Order: sequence, then C-alpha cells, then structure tokens
Amino acid sequence: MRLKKNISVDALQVILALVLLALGLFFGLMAAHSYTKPGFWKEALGFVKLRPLHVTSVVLWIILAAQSFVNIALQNITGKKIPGLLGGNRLLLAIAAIIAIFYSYFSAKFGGREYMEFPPVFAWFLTLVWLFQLASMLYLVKHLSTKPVYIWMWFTGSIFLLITFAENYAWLLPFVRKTTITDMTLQWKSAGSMVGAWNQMIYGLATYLMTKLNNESKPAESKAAYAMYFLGLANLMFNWGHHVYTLPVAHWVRYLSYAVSMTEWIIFLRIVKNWNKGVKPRQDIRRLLSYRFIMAADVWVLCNLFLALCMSIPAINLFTHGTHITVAHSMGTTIGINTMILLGVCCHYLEEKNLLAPSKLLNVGWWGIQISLAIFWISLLTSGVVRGMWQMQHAQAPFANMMLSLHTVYRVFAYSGSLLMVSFLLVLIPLMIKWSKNVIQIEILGKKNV
Amino acid sequence: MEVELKPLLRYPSGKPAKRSAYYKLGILSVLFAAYLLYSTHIMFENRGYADEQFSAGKMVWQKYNCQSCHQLYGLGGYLGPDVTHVYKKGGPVYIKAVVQTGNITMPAFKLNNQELDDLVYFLKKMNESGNADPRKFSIKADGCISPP
Repeated sequence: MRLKKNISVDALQVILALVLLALGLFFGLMAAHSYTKPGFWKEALGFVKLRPLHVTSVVLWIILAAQSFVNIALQNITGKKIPGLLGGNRLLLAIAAIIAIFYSYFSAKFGGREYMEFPPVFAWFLTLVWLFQLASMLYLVKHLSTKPVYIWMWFTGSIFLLITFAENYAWLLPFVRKTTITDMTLQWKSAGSMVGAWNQMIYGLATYLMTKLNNESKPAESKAAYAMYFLGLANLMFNWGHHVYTLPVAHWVRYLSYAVSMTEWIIFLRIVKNWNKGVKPRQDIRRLLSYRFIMAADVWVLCNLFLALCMSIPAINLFTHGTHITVAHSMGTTIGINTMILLGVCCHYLEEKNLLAPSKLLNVGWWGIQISLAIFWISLLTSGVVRGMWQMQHAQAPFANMMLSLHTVYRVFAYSGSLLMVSFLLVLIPLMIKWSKNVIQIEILGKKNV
Repeated sequence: MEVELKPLLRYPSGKPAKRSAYYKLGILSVLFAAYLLYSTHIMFENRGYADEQFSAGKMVWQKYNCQSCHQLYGLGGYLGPDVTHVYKKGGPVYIKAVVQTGNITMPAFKLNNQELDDLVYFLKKMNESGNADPRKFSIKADGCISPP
C-alpha cells in the first residue's frame, strides 16, 4: 500500500470562490456608498465600475462554488476522481477569466451587457470553463445511479447554463443587434433562465445535503421530488417573461410567463405545509453550521418566493418594475438563498472531516448575517416602494428630489451592508483557513476514495 | 412461448433502465423541444428592427456601460433615471450636454462626435420603440397589463 499526495483542484477552487465572495461584498459596500455620498470616487472608480465588479464577483462565487461542490459530491458518490487534465485546466481558465475581467473593469474597458459587462472575447474563457465542467461530469456519469433527483438537477443545470450563456451573446449577431425589442427580450430571457440554471445546481446541492444530514435518500428519490424538479425546470424555460412585461412584446408571451410563474405557488404552499408539519431535526445536527445555513435559506426562500410571486403578477409588476424592489428580490435570493445553501454545503464538507466545529465566532457571524440581511432587505423594499409610488404619480417630482427623499433609507442600506460584510467575514475567513487544509489530499493507492 | 422484450434504454453502466426513467426522459424531451421552439421564435421575431447606426449607438451605450446606472424599459441600474424616453423629454442637445459634462452623481464622459451622434440616434430609436411609462398601461381584470 502506497500513499500519494494530490492537490485537490476543487478545494483550490472553493478557496477562490470564497475570496470572490469577500471581494463581491467589498465592492458591493463601496457601490452602496455611491447612494449615500453622491459622486463618491465617480471619476476614479465610481458606480460605473463598482457595480460590474460587485455583480461579476458574486456571480462567479456562485458558479465556481457550485461547480466545486457538485464535483466533490459526484466524486464522493462514485469513488472516482476527475482527471487532473480536466480539473486543472478548468481552474486555470477560471483564474485567467477572473484576471482578464477584473482588469477590464478597473480600466473601464467594457463592451458587454448587464451582469457580463466585460469585453465579449473574455466570455470564451468562461465557456471553456463550463465545457471542462461538463466533460468532468460526463466522465463520472457512467458510474452514477440516476435515482436521486439531484443528479438530474446538476446535469440539467450545467447544460442550461451553457445554453443560456451562449444565448446571452445573441446580440453579437447583427440581425439581433439591429432590433430594439427582440434584442432586449432575448437579453432578459437568457439572464432569467441563466439564474434558473444555476438555481438547479444549488437546489440540487441543498437536496443532496439534506439527504446526507438526515441519512435518508428517500426524499431525493420520491415522486414529489421529481415533480418539484420538473416544475422548477418548466419555470426556468418559460417564466422569464416576467422581466419584460412592460416591453412591447406579444401578449401571449406575457400570458405564458404569467401562467408559468404562478405555478410556483405550489412550491410556496408546499414549504408552508412542511413547516406546519413541524418535523424536528435530530439533536446532533441542530448545532451544525451546515444545518443552520440550510434552515436560514429555507426562511429566505419563503420570504423571497412570496415577493417574487407578487412581482410576477403583471399588475403588481407595473409598480415594482424599475425600482429597488427588484434589487431586494435579486439580493435577497443571491445572498439569502444561494449563498446560504452554498455556505451550508461548504461547512458540511468540513464537518464530515471534523475540520469544523461550532464556535462563538461562527455563531456571532451567522446571527450577524441574518439580522443585517433582514435590515438590508427591508431598506431596499422601502426605497423600492417610494420609487414605485413616485413613478406612478401623475405629476412627477424631479428624479433627484425623489432620490434625496430616500437619503435616510440609503444610509440604513449602506450601514446594514457594512454589517453584513463584517458578519460574512467572521464566517468566511475561518472557512478559507480550514479549506486550505483540504488542498493537499492523501490518497491511499489501491483503495477507492470516499 | 414467452418472448423477452429487450429494454429500449440502458443506463450508462449497461443496466436496463426502469419505466420511471422512460417517463423522466420523455418529460424532459417534451419540455426541451418546447423550449427550443419558443427560443427560436423569440430570436427570429424581429421586433423593432432598426438600422446600422442604431446598432453603433447600442455599442456606444455598452462601451461606456451606461446600463450600470440607467435603465431602458426599467431594466438596468437604479442610481440614475430611466432614459427610454429621454430623447422626447430633453432632445439631442440635452443628451449631449449631460453626457459630456455630467452632474453631481454622473461622471463626465469623453465621447467623440461620432459616438455622441450614434448614442443620440440609439436613444431616439428607443424612444420610438414603444412606451416605458408605467402610468400609461391599463390593468386588466385577470391581473395582466396592456400597453397604450
């Protein structure tokens, strides 16, 4: 029996993803201060650079973390390792993409669209990252049972991420770019579906985590689980039209997305029903940070899903569209749901190896995140309601007057954002240190990895 | 005489797929086919066809990342106002002046004359493309909305 030292590419990618989250929080905080201090560094840095820096950092955190955690799960399930050629190249391409994108933002070399403001040529790096990811997953698929729903979710999520990412660049085609409405419709179609695609991966991870924590595979193999999966998939494909209700699109596009969006009430009512059942968790898992993050995500799902369902009703959307209620929804879901689930999985992999135990610092960080996120979310909703009322007024006051009236709300937004960042760092820094212990893995040759 | 029916589908490991796998793949295939049809229709619908200068103006909008602060049809960043109808409200001279001088929140952008003309043309076409003013929509009994 021989021992072999391996560098875990996925552990390195997890650390990179955690660093991106920390950077995203920092840039977000700086961007928030553009609201409280008008003209804040507007020539040197400014909102025009800070917003894409913040958004891209956070999107890359979600994508890279989801990739790594799915890979670790698949390798654990199958007992096989992803070949170094696939994993190593994927990571190097991701690093190259990040350096190129950040350079372009800091030097104000834009050219892309919302959420991907970097020059389109850098999109090739990200496309190759996803192709390597798909290749890694397909390499492992022959060893997989397709019973658990999370396997289906990971694969469909990865495939749709690639499809929607490519669709996001349809504007490169001259016949699309020359249109006013079709171009915008396609842009928001792909952006909406892309979010649905990475949600498939993340909710798959949440399902996987719950089966591991409860030591029960049945919830991931039941008919109800598959019904929810197909419902989510149908929404990914057809409900994006709620982004473009106010565009001059065809009536039937509005009605189709309205109808499909309303099917998510089924998910909402199911969550409420499960809560009412009052199933108590085992004592041994209640203190685990992974469990606490997943439970927090459950609460945020309820709040944000209710908000999203209301916003998906066109009559209400008319009021909320173009306001910070949309931002409350996007931040509430990105932080409250996606980040909470990913951090839950992140903690679980450490807890499995006894590298993470509950501590006072982590407890303070966890509570700080929940409380500051709640204040942050409510401040965004408040500013959204005021702006919504302003934009529906028959005789509108000047835009600057409306923004000035929200000065106190924006200060609450910025300061709660500062507290959010500090609370996250209390959790992220220990996680980064502990994951660094995972980078070098000892493999016992001749035995399967578990 | 009993005849053994060979399964149509096998898992990648070679094991024959169960009936439930057929149902799942069937639903997936139907959804995906509908999605492809829908996406193709949207892409080739050609709503609001403009011209080359409009396209050039759009590239200027992207080059200077105007969407980080401004919205078109309520879609974009929220630090600044929606500019879908700024051409109608302010006109080309106003647009050029604001872009070049900025204000307390907005930086001054250094665009050349061609870029300014293209951007103004882009905003002119966006103004003509439809209505982005939520006050002018009507609300139907079923909760849907209708543009003017």
